[in-house]
Amino acid sequence: MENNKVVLPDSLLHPAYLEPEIIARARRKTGEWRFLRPILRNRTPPCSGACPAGIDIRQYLEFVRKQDFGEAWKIIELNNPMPAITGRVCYHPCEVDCNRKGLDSALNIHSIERSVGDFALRQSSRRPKVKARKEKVAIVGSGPAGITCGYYLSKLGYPTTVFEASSVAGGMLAVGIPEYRLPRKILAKQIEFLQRFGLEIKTCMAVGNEKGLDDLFDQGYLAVLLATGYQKGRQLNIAGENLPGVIQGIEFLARPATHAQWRNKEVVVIGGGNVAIDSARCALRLGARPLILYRRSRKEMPANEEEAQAALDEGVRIQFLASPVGLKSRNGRLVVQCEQMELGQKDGSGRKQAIAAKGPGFEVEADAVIPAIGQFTDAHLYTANGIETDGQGNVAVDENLLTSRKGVFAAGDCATGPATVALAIGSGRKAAISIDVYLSGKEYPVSKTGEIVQFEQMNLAYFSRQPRQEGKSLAPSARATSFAEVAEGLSKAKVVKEAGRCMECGGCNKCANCWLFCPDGAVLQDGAQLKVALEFCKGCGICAQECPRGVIAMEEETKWQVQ
Amino acid sequence: MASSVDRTKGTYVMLSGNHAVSNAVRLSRVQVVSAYPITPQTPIVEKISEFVSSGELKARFIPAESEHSVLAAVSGASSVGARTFTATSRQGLMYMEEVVHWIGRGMLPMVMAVVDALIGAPPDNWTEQDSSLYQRDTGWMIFYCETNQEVFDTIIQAFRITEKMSVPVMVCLDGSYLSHTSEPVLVPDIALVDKYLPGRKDAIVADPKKPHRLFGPAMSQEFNAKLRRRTHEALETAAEFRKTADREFESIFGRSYDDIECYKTEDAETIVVAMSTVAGTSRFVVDRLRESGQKVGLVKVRMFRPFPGNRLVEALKNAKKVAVIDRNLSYGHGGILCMELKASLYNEKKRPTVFGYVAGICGVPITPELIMQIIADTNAKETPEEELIWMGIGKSEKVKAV
Amino acid sequence: MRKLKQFNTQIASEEHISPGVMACPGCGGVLAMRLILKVLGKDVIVTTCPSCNSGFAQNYTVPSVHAPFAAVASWASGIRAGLDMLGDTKTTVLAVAGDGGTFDIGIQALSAAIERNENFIFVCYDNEAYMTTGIQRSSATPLGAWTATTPVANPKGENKKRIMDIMAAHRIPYAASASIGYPEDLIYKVKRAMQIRGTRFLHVLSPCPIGWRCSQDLSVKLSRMAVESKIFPLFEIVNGLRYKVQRPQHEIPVSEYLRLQGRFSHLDAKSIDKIQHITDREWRRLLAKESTATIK
Repeated sequence: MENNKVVLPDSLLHPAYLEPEIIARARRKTGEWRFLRPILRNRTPPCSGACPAGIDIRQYLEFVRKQDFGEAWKIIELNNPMPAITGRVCYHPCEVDCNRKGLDSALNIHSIERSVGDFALRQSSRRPKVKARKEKVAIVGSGPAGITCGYYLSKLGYPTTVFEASSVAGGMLAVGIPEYRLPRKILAKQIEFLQRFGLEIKTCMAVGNEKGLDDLFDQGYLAVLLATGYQKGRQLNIAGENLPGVIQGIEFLARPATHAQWRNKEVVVIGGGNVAIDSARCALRLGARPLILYRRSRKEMPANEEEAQAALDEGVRIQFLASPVGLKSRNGRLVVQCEQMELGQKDGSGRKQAIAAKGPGFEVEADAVIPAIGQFTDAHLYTANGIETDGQGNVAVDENLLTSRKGVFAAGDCATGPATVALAIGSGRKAAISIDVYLSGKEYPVSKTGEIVQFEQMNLAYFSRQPRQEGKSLAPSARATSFAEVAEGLSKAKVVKEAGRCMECGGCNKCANCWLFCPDGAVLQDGAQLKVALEFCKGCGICAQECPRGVIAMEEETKWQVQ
Repeated sequence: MASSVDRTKGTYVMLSGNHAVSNAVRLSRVQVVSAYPITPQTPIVEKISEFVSSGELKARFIPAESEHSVLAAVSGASSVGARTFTATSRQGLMYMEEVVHWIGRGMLPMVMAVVDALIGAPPDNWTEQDSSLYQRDTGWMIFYCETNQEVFDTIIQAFRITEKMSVPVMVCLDGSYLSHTSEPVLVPDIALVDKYLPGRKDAIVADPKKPHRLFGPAMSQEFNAKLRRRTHEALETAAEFRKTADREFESIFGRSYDDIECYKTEDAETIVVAMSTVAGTSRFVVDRLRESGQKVGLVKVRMFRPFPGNRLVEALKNAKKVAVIDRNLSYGHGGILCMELKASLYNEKKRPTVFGYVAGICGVPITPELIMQIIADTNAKETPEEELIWMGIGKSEKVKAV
Repeated sequence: MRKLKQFNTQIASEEHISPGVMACPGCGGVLAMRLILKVLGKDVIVTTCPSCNSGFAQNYTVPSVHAPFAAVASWASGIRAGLDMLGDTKTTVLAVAGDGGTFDIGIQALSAAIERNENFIFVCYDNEAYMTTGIQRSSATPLGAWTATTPVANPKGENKKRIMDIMAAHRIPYAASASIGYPEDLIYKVKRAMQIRGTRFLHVLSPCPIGWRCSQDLSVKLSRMAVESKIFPLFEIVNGLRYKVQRPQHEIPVSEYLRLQGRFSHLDAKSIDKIQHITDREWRRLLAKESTATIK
């Protein structure tokens, strides 16, 4: 029927036939329009940036959210082998810097850490196999710096011995931190745990002051770490300081139970730091009526705010702007003679100075007086062994914690000056690295300190307000009669929920907002990763703007830069 | 081959031109129809609506809110492969104009019946071919019909051509003279039409399985120009295919139509050139004048686009004079058919003298007497005194510039 | 392979706009279309009309037909009719127009299509002016905005045409406003629209960094802020009567939204107060419609 003399190529039929050509032309390389380039990179969250031990908090919280406490522990353990301790006693600078506080309130990181730490302590502590090494290491002092260093070295296979002068291991953890903050059972478990790689702790073994280090080297130790801490209480330098009934805070805290006779007695604590607060709260638990005398005001108190508040809650009284100028004995009691102070100009620490006010002083009667105005380290050990000290009497160390004597390292308070448990742990870990480098001859690892994500760099549109999960604490009335732990910690459900509040600042969690919002479809899902197809990316920056956690930055294209 | 077909399968029905269109649409099994009311076209879509309503035609009728939307709607249906139809007149066609160009250049298959009537202002319904002839540059194929049977047959042929060639086709019928005048029309059995129209098999329609992009903005000047050339060439090829389509039509229905029709032109010295119903009246006049011995013939132009210039040159080569009757006007120039014919003849060494008459616009009757006057005028003069000769409305008193 | 988090896992990874699209950096319109096409999937025919989308459509991997400006709704009606007559009732027909093709030149055809209840989805991606032709005012341009035809000395003195009210007056089966700032909501609305028969209308605010005189990276943020400031509330209308209005989780004054855009930079405090007043009034009216919409 069809007389197809007229045979047309399809190409003659319709203007749309050239579609393949259109598509080919349409795939223009729009990346050439770009003058800004998105860079996807993880940045440091403020919590990790603030953590003296440098724990990757964002990452372990991710595992906690998945209820994988084992993996969370592994992340913490890379920087801190005793989260059960730090979860209780660290003053958590991570929470102070937490970006979440700009939205609602900071994450309860320490409770989560404590929970992970307790989880780890509950696991069986079979001794894992490590490749043994022969270089012996000695550590002087079993405080957090010493045992942390010992833990990591023994994990690396170094036969490591900790020498502790006292009868209990743990240093300040055992003799400085009251039981109601750190139950001794937990500490004992933790120390036992740390020894599972073969770390040996010898208590009641003081390293002799004279030639002490020489002896250690003679015994075949190739490296020695000094982690002796700040063990001595600072003198008030006022009259009557050595009267009976006067006891240094640091000494009182080591054995509070021996002062049971203070029941219903007046105890005056002098100072505004953590030792003063701890001493007052311990005295309260013995049944005494503690009064803290502090020469400045509440605002200037160096003690941790939460601890100070807890002391007030429990009934500890604090008299501000009171400076003791003398002690004397009267009718079998002690009398603290005080000057009334007032606040002046700010000093070097940024706090207002206390200056004596005109007018008469006053007296406070007490049955016992606890000076707690600071500690110092006994520099004699160092100088006697040919180790240089700095102006404060601390061991002089370089950035890798090497002292002036070959093979001798120093960590913790004795090297850094008085600080926190977390800093001591960080310092101990750093010393372990240095000693490993020293003994094995390898290179120092490159330290990675990224730019810290600021609150302003977070996109709050992607976060909703959620209340902070708070753990219960012992009622203040119950605390007055017991050294039982005050903070109860969080339930597992609450821990997981709290970890869910983490905003994961600076960490790409594959939320894929960049992919979703790219008008050009130029962000590709490459397996588990997201990457930018620069061939087509026009550099609009929506991905950076809409990244909830500040992972993407826009950088100027080098091709536009004047060489 | 033709004799094997039973041409008796069908019925003679008295149909107006409009209803001839409606019935052709019904038999062509059109799937989507859209229209907007406008006199004198309205009876076409009224009848189609009845067919759709009664189920005689299984189609979707889209009663759009304007002609612009009408043509867009049928274009939409056509762009996915449906058989589509619409009809309009005068102002309606003008309102469609943008879309007429869009799909002419874009080459979408569809058939549109245009009932020719005048364009305002002032508005009225009388016949005149201006509106459809103004579509000559749009890329559509354009036919002018002389009788209602031709209207009926051309609509069916138009579907065959448009769906094979992807060229939209306009079928024009004079308002009143055809649209509202009944004639006996042989309406064939639908089976015969089914045989003639195999259905759309376009390679290119919008289809999610084979995504194409239709009518997007140009990628480059040159690319777009190539598309334009394609549109032009497709029209020429469609004219070639029209012959095939007509042979097929003749074999089934026994009737045949050509691009142009020559009536008694072999020895004619004066030939009348006309379109549509004017050709019918001219045929009558030619017969009368032949009886009195005058060597007069008629060339009817049925297909105006693509313009059958070569055929006309061939048909007119032996004539001395040609009288072109235009029921239309390109203002400031002249009758449109006349202009186009002159252009075709220009390069010929031997060519007749062409007289251009504008007659019958605004529905003024073109009577046999008027055509005789035209032929007499042509015969009386050696050359035309004016490019444009007005007939039937008296002498003009030209306005003088101040 | 690790799965992408949150709702993003529910969004098809398949792209229906190939990269290298002819859109300015940061274009909200192409982002809206990218997301909408992801939801609609492959079985769709898009019809578009003169707009920036004409350019994007070059890169569509689904079929697209370009219609004349005024007639995209009519063209879509025809596509639907054609498909239905050919026995394809499954393929979604999507008509896409800018604010000009919806609010202005296209409204006649759109109104007629809704009146006939033609079965297709109409998306108006609203960038609040004629951007393709170089930022001229449309009836969708907001009060006080600069455009090339409303110079700073005489910024637009009329309110934006309330297109959703017009939709509601048609008793359209489904109309919703959506925003690229709330992609999960946008996706939900496209999905919901797909499940309804008849004409469905989606009004998507699509910031244009060039025309709004704002930074290229703000398109999503401004979309969000338009909702938070209640200048562009998100709501659904079923059958033109039942309203469901989403209250922004976080509310901001209009000034915060306006100050990020250069097209409003000439406004003084009094003008901003006026815009705030009108915005608040319209918000109350919207809520009133929601609460009185239960009349049978």
